[in-house]
Amino acid sequence: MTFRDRSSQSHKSVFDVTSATLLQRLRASPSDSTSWNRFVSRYQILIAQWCLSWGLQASDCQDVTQEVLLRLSKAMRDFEYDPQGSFRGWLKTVTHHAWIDWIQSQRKPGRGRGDSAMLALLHQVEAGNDLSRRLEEEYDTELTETALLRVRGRVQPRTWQAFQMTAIEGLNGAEVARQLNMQVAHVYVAKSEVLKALRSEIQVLDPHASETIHAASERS
Amino acid sequence: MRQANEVDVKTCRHDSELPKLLAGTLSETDAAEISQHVESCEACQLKLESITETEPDPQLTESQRRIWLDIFSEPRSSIFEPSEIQNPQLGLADSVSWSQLSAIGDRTTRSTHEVTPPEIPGYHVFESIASGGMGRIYRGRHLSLDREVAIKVMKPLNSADASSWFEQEMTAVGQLEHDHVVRAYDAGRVDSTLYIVMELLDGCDLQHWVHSPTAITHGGTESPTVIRDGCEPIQPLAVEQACGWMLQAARGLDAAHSRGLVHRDVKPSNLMITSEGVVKLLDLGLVERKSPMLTSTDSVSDEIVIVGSLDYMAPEQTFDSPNVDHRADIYGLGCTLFAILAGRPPFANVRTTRKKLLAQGTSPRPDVRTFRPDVPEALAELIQQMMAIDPADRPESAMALIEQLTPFSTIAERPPADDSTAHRWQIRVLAFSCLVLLGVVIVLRMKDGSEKKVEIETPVESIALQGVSDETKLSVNGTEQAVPPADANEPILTLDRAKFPHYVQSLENEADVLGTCFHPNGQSLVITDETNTVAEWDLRNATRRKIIQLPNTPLCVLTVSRDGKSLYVGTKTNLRKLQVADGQQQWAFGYRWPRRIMVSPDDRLVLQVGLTRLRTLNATTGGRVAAYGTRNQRFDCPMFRPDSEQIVMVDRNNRQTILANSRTGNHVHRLQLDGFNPQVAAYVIDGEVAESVVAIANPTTYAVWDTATGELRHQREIDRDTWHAELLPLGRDNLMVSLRGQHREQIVVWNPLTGEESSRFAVPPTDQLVISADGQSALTTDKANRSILRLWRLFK
Repeated sequence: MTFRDRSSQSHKSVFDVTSATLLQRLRASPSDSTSWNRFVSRYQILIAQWCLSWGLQASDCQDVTQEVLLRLSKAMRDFEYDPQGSFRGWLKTVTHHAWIDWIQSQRKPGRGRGDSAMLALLHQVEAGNDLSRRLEEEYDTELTETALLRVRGRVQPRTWQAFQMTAIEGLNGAEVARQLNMQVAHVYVAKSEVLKALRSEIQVLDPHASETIHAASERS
Repeated sequence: MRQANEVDVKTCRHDSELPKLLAGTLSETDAAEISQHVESCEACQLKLESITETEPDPQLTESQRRIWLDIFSEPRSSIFEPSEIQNPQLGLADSVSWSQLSAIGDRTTRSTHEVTPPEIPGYHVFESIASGGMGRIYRGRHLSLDREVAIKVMKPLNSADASSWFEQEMTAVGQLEHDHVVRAYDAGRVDSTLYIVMELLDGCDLQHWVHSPTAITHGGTESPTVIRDGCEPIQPLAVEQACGWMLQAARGLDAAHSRGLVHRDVKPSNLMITSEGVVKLLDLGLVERKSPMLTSTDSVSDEIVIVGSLDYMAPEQTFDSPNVDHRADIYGLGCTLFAILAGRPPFANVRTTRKKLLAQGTSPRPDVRTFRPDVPEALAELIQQMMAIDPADRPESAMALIEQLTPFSTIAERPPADDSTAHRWQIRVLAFSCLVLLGVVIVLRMKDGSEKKVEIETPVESIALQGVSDETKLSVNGTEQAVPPADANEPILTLDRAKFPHYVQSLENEADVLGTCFHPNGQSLVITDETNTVAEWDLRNATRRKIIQLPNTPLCVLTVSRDGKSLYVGTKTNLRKLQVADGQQQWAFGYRWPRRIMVSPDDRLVLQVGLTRLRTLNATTGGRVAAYGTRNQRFDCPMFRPDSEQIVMVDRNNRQTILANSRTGNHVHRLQLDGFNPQVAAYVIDGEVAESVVAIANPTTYAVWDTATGELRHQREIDRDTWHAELLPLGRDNLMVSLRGQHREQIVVWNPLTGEESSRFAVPPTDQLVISADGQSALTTDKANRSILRLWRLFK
């Protein structure tokens, strides 16, 4: 196959506000307060867990979490998303910036020294990378849920059920066919259909990288 | 078991048409014909299975691949529940509590936990008798003591921090045995679900004497579905009666405070009065310290989220929740006394939450005599003093309060009313009615710290208990102990050999041990611990070598390959294969929270038991080989047959012992007996290949089946509860090692075919038991202190 024109891909138009992930919506409209509140709800716990795993006491964690969230929200507004770059790249930049910003604030003169030993833990570079990784993981989770919901909305309930029982619950086709009163072959057709839809949904939802791959694999 | 291999090599002439069938490129007639053919062609079915494998497409990028694997990891969110459509962003109110956040962080709550009664080792769990935002209360029975209990099952949450907090609190609560505190018998966790076992009582709570609507505070469902019809409050409540009850509550609080426990949510609905007229404090140790949680949004510069029951919450709890002390409970008790006398809480007239909060922190305390002129002036003053804004102005301790209250309670400690009112108490009501400590979230806006605005956002749960997945059972209370447990505070490292004749040595790990396994060479142990570290303990010189520390992934279970070169470790997010020598990762596969991991005797398959499914993976690649199980099954105690072809396991939900083919996932037998609830199962070797399977049911019976026919060979009695059973390695004459006893305090080596015992010895109450590859040694971890590893000789 020859090189395919990128403009023929319909990926970008697929996003509408309601089905995009939370982070994508925030990026698109940084002043949407509903999205912000949800962002705080969803990411607060991640950041708090990050603090805990780096050895901070629960009480310190709350302060740090709040500060990091504040800086994260600021960075998200300050950093323009470059449509040429990947969303993940943007998320990484924003996280890194928020983390650096927070570290800087800790070094300001006049700050109490009481908890500095604890906070020093978070000053390690790995802590920043770890934070970035956690946010990306949560972004992955959002993408996963979005992909599942979108596909589930598109297929017949029975198709979904057959997929669920075979692919998720790990039952074999004959057993599922018996339980759903379907032909065995149709169970596999259903499974295959959903798998295919999920695959393309994931490629659509996480587009930048997949474009690169498409282009690369089709060139070869 | 050879069938599968035969099928594997068989092919069918329709083979090539199957991909077209899936792609929908066959004509309708052809498709119908092939479909008909597939019905009866096992080869085609296997082929279809293999071409619809859920392995990630090689074209997917790394991040897409992660998402793909995430879809097939478990446990999945309730997206897979067919009945409900879920909003991925969760249509929650914009400000939510810490506990709700954790629930979200945990990818929506898992509905399976709410639908079927949970399986809790050692208990039979009956119907749910109450429910609320935080979880459910079930009626249960302790299997060996035959005691009726109430089991509070928390919603599964997800934080190691909260889990350890819960353990600490529960250990303290469990040690507290007091007439005026609801007794907690036991607590623990199964997977990520925390539970507390408590006494089941008759009675009702003091909220019945409070009538003023406090909708804002209570958010509608203060108590769950408690049967209240039998509790008709006598109005107005006699002053002496009220003081008598408060006196009892103060005694309960005094006991708690003396152990460093602060209740933090003393209020009428948390005080139970039993049908005998005894006041019991409920939900001690369940109120998390960490609220308020700070949050931020773009529209509001600083917000503080406060969780609690406003009418009874001490002002300092609003601002400095983590640091409140016992005097917050005295405040709560003062408000409670006010409320049951006046029939309304002190600031019931303050309608908005914001004003209520400000009132608690600033307004003069109302005089109870406004509502109850018959209250003596001195008592009214004492109540005011209890409700003082500054903790320093309150009675300094519960003990001091008892002294001050005593003069007002001439009928203290006696039943609440004469016998003619006994019928009022006949209806059985749950002891700890308030499953959910409802509160409100208050948002304080502070601009430059000068202005405070308080707004109500939404009612929320005030408790956040978050647990990590593990099967560790934590004992908070032992009754009669056959062997005294090591004191949790003072671990006994070296045991007395006179008392423990099979004892070899102890090792003290830096942190609590989660997973343990002998290295096949018998000279070392591989462990995982609370610090996410995989380490090797050399038994010869008792030194510890860190293999690797994995970030952010609580490790739950592990096993070492038979060749001793690799180890498999289950983490929150996946199952990994690492090299023992340097911790280098060989593969990772995205099945979450494996509960057990095993390697097949031929070292080619890895078995992992998830919440409801069991999977075998290719040990070299991590790819899936077979899966078994449905949503309503709950597997435990898997074991490979010595030839690696079969697996035996128990299905606790369906009370079955199941044999399945390890390479196809097809079941071979489902073994079931009336009234037999298998806890553990294992193969028994009889000749070269296992022919029998034994299943042991709590409390004290076991059954042996023929694996070829599925017929029962015999059923016998054993003397103690059995918690774990493992067959000794080949060559040890059908010997099985069991951990027995109510407190898991005996190791028994026995032959299930004959019932003969080869060895029996005492160990401290034990958490985990593993057997060495040569079948000579056992390793245990103490229930009381899981950082201590103990080595035992199985035979004298």
